[in-house]
Amino acid sequence: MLSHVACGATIRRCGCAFLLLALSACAVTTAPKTNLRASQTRTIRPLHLQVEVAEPFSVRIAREEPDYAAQMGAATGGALGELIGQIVSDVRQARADGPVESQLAPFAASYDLRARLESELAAALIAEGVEIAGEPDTDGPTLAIDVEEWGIRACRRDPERFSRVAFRLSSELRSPPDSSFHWEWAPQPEFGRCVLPEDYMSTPARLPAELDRAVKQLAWRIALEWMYP
Amino acid sequence: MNAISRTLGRLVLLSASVGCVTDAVVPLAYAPVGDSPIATAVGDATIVVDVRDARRLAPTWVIGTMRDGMGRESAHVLASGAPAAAVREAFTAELTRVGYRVVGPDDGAAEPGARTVVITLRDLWTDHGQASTGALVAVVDTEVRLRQATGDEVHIDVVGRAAIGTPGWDPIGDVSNAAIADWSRTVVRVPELRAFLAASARSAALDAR
Repeated sequence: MLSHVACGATIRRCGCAFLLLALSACAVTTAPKTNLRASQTRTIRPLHLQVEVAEPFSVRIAREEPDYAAQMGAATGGALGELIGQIVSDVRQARADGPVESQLAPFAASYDLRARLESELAAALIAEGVEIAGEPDTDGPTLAIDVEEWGIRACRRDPERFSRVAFRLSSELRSPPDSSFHWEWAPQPEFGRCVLPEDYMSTPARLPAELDRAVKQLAWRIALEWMYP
Repeated sequence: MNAISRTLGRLVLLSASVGCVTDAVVPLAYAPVGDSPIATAVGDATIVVDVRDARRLAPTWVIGTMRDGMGRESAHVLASGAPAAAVREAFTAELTRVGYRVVGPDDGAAEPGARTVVITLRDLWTDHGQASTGALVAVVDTEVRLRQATGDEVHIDVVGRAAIGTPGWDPIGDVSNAAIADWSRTVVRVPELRAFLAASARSAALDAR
């Protein structure tokens, strides 16, 4: 499965390489882009919540490390060399994370991230005075959260050993009541202390507890980014 | 887009694979953006802010690494001032813009009723060549202790993170400052800190009566 994921990433990169000729520049930012003001968010009611989780729990420790196979390939073979190097790099790093991921995945297998995040997010928003719609309505203003990746990610201070809970997500306001309302936010937040993967394995309750704590913090962060853009 | 940025960045790096040979000195700065999630202080609410640098690296001005076209570390990223001071400035800016008065630990003794926020900077690091999540990645890792006037403490871990740009095209200082900005936005959105500050404001309002 990991190889599958790695190949998917490589295919995407291949596609991107072809786009290089057409694109002159681009940049990615974690900062929120918004033209909403705090006073405006309060007028959007009732607010629907929609949380989607695209991928299962994952471990990204080796894959967080710089891997210069691609660069070395490119240095010897240009763009084609980079693509070949990238394939080698992706597969190697995904395989390196595989054993840890397969050991930790059972501890997170029963963790319903979607339900948990939706519940915590609703609680945070309600605590801030936001009216949450009880029934789903695709036409109503919807705060849509798409969790693209979740799991544990390497800490920089000792990336080969320490890690903590992290997410990659995109969020946006859909079907706003006014076309001038626009809100989106795509962060990669990390939460908690850096711990050893072995600590999760030796104490089965630790990973769900860390996830719980991180999800609660994530929910508040989303709610307050929305409330105070 | 992320993959495109990375690929573009690598090609730029490789086409200029002579690499980076001189240290980059970046000014760390912070300016609040957007609406504050902190309630406006009532009365003379004073917060003592104590920021300690506990990063393992020396000298303390080093806040990152630059890499050459082959990924080798070729130069340092240096802060133009003390990194802990930059974190303190960011936190202070968020508090002062909603009416809190911020003093340092040396002045805290003169504020017996004031609550204290102790921020331990565990890491502030920019990697010019981090591969998987962006061309430039910066992280600010802190432990924040919220100390009541009674001495009771609440501990929270707060991490700021940013991944932006393309090596060679974007100033490396941007990602360091973006991480500090993300940290600052994060810390003021932590419920425990907001409750702590609100309690401080209430105390100040009562004292003012």
